[in-house]
Amino acid sequence: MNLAIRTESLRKRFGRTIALDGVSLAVPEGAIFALVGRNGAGKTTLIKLMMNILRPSAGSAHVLDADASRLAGRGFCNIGYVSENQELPDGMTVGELLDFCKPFYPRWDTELAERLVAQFDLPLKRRLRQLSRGMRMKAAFVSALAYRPRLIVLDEPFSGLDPLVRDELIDSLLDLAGETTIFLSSHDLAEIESLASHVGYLEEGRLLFSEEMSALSARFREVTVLLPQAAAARHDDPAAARAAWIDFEISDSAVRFVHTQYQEERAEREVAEAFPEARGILFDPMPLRAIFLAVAKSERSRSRLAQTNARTVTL
Amino acid sequence: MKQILHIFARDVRRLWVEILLSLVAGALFAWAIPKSWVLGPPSIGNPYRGIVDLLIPLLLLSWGLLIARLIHGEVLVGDRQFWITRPYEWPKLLAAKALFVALLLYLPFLLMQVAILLQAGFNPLSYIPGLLYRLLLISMVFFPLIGVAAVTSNLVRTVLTMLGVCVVLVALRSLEYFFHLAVLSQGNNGPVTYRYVQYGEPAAIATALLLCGVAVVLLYARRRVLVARLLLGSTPFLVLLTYSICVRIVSMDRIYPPAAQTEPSVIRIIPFEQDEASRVAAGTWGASEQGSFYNVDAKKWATIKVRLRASGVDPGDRWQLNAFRPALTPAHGAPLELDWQEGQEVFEAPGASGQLNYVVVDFLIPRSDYDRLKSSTLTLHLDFALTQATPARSWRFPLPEGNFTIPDLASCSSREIRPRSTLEITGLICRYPLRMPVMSLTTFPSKGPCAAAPVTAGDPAAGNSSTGGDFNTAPASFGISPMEDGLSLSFGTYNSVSGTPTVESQLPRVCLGTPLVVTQYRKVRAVQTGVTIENFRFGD
Repeated sequence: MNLAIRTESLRKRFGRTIALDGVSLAVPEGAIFALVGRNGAGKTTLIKLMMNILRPSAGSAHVLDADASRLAGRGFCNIGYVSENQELPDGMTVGELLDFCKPFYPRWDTELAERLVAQFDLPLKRRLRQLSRGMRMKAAFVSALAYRPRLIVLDEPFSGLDPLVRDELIDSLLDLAGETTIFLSSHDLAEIESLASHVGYLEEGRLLFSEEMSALSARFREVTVLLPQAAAARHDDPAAARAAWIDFEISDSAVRFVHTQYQEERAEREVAEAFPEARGILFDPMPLRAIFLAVAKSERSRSRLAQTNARTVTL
Repeated sequence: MKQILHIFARDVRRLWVEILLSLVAGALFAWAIPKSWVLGPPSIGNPYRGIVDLLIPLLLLSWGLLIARLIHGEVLVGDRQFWITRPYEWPKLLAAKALFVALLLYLPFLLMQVAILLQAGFNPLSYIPGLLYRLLLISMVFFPLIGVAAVTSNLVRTVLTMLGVCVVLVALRSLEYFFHLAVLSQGNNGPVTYRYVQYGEPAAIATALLLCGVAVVLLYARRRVLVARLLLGSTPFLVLLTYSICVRIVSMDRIYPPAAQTEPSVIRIIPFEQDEASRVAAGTWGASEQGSFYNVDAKKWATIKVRLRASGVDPGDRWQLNAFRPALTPAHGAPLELDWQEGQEVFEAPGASGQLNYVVVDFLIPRSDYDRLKSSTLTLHLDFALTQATPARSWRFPLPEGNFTIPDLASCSSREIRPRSTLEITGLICRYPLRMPVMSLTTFPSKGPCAAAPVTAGDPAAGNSSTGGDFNTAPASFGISPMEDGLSLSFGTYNSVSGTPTVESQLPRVCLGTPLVVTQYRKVRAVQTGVTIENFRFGD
C-alpha cells in the first residue's frame, strides 16, 4: 500500500507545552482522511509539521515520499493546502489570484479552474478583502484544486461556513476523490462522517486511533447489559472491566459501556462471562459522534486518574 | 527566470502607486536641488531650500513605504501566509525582490544622481566609481529598511519598529551626550588619541550590510525569524564594535611607513628657532595653561606647545601633519610616552618673501607629569605621520559674478559682504560632486583696491592662500544629493601660518574680476618621520 502521508513518533513542543506527543500516522494514497479532535488537540500543529510550516521537535514526517522538513518550492506543485486561518493576498481580485497562481503549476487545469469558479459563483473582479468568509474559502479552494494536486490538505476548511457553502466545497472535493488523497482536519464530526474514508483521532497531542471508517464503525459497539437490581451494584468498579471496555454507566438495573474491540461471537461470549446474571445483552452500532464522545470521555478520566496517582505518589 | 519575472511583474502591478510616489519624490528632488543653488551658498530666503528640506524626508518615507510593501507582498513572519505552501523557490523569490529593488530603487537613485550632476555642470562619466560607491553607501538606508520590513508582519509594525529604533538611537545619543557633559564637567577630557578612521568606516559599512544581508537571506531561505531579529538587533552594536576594533588594530607603521633618515625627498621637520639665543627661552616652546584645548581642567592637564618648521619641502608641495606622537625623556627619572595625537597643520615651502613660517603643535600631559618634569632638562622626541601632496591641476581665472564651475572640481560662489554699499568678497563656498575634492588652494593678490572695480593687475602666485578638502580615499561620501556643500575657502585664512589674520574683519577682500588660481592636489604618499629636540625645557 502506497502512503501519501507517513509520520513517525512526531513530536512538537512549544516551550513547556507538548502540542504533539509521538504521533505515528499512515495515510494511504487515494484516501479521504479526516483528522478529528477537540480544539487545541494538535490537529493544526500536525498539519503545519506536514507542510513544513513548523519544524518538529522530534520524529519525522514524509509527504508524498518526501521528507516534510525539506518540503519547499516545487514540492508544493503536487500539494494543495487550504486553511481556515490562511492569509490570502487580499489586495488581489479572484481573477488576479488565479492568474498569479497559474504559472507556478505545470499541471494547472484552466478548464477545471473555470468550472470551479462557475460552480462556486465566484466574482472574478472582486478583491479578496471584499469577499465574505465563505467566498474567500471558495477562492482558496479553486486556487488549490485547479492544478489537480496529488494531495489536498485542508485545515478546518468548513469551520464557520454556512451549510450551503460547505456542501459546495465538499462536492468539489468529492469530484477529485480517487485521483487525489485528501487529508482534512475538523472538529465537526457530522461533516466528515459522510466524506471520510479514514479517520484519526487526536487528543491532547496523542493519536488515539487512526483507521478506516468502516473498521472503526465495526469495532465499536454500545453494550447494554440488563441485570437484576441487586446485581448491578456489584459492577460499579470500571477498573474491574476489561481494557477494551470503556465509558461505563451503571444504573439500577443495567450496565452500559462501549466495547472498543467488538467481534461478534467473541464479544458476546466475553460479556456473558463477565455478567453471568445478565437478563439480556444488547450490542448496538454507534454513530461516529458517539464513538468519539466515548473515547474522549474515557481518555479524560484515564488522564485524571493518572494525574491523581502521580499526585498521590508525590505526596 | 520565469518565476522571478512573474513575481516582479506582480509586484510592479501591485505597487504602482508606491513606485509612482517614490519616482515623483526623486524627480522633484532632482528638479528642486539645483534651484536651491541659484542664490549661491545655502542661503536664507531661497524657497527651494525649504522644498528640498521637505523632499528629503518625503523621499526617505517613499523608499521606506515601497520597501515595506514590497517585502510584505510575501510576509516572512508567521505561519499563516498563503505563499509558504505554494511552489515558490526562495532564491527566485529573493531574486525577484532584489530585481525590484535594483530597478525601482537603486536605478532611479542613480539616475537622480546623474541628473543632478549634469545640472551642476559635471560629466557623470567622470564619476562612475563615485556613483557606484554612492550606491553602496545608500544601501546603508535600503538594507536596514529591508531588514526591518522582513522581520515584521505588516506596515504598522514596520513603522513602529523603525520608530523604536529611532527612539533607541536618540536615547543612546542623549546618553552619550550626557556622559560627555559629565566627563567635561569633571575636567577629565584629556588627550584624544588619533585613530585612522578610514579603516574603520569601510569595515563598519561592510559589517552592517553583511549582517542585514545574512538576516534577510536567512529569512527567505529558512524563515528563521528569531535568528534574523537577533542578528538585526545586534547589528548596530556589532558595527560599532567592528569600527572600534578596526581603528584600534590598524598599525600606524603600516599606514605611514617610516622614512629612511637619508631619503632626500622626505620633509625634515626641525624646531623653529628665530635665533640661537632664544633656543631655550620661554615662548619658543613650552607649556601653557590656556592652550588651544577647550574644556580641559588646567589642574589636571598642562598644554605643551612646540613650534616647528620644515625644510626640504619642494615649492608648491604641501605636507599635511595627520598625527604626531610625543615622548619626553628627562635626564633622570621615568620617561613620558604619549599615544598618537591628531594634528591638522600643513608644512609648505617658505613664501616668496623668504619669511620662515612655523607651525605649532600642542598636546596635553597630566599635570602631575608636568610638575615632575618642569625643572628637568628634557629630550623631546616627536614622531610625525604626514601626507605629502603635490599640485595636480590648476585653474586660473578672474573671479566671476554669481555661481561658477571649476571643471571636474567644484561649483563655487563668492561669499559676499556689502559694507557701506560696496561689494567685497571674503572667500568662496564650493559645492563638490560626490566627495570633498582632494585638496585645493586659492591664491589671489593680497593687495589692491577692493571696490566695485575689478583688479586687473597683480600676481596671484604672490598672494595668500587657503586650503580645503582632505585625502580620504573613498570615491564618494554618504548623501542623497551628489552635490555637497561644505568646502569653504576664505581669502587669507590659513591655519597657523605666522602672521595670518584670523579675524573676519581683518580678512583681505577681493573684488569681481580679481585673478584667482585654484590648485588641486594629489596625494603622493603617507610617511612617518620624526625629530628629537635636546635640551627641551618647559616655558612658563
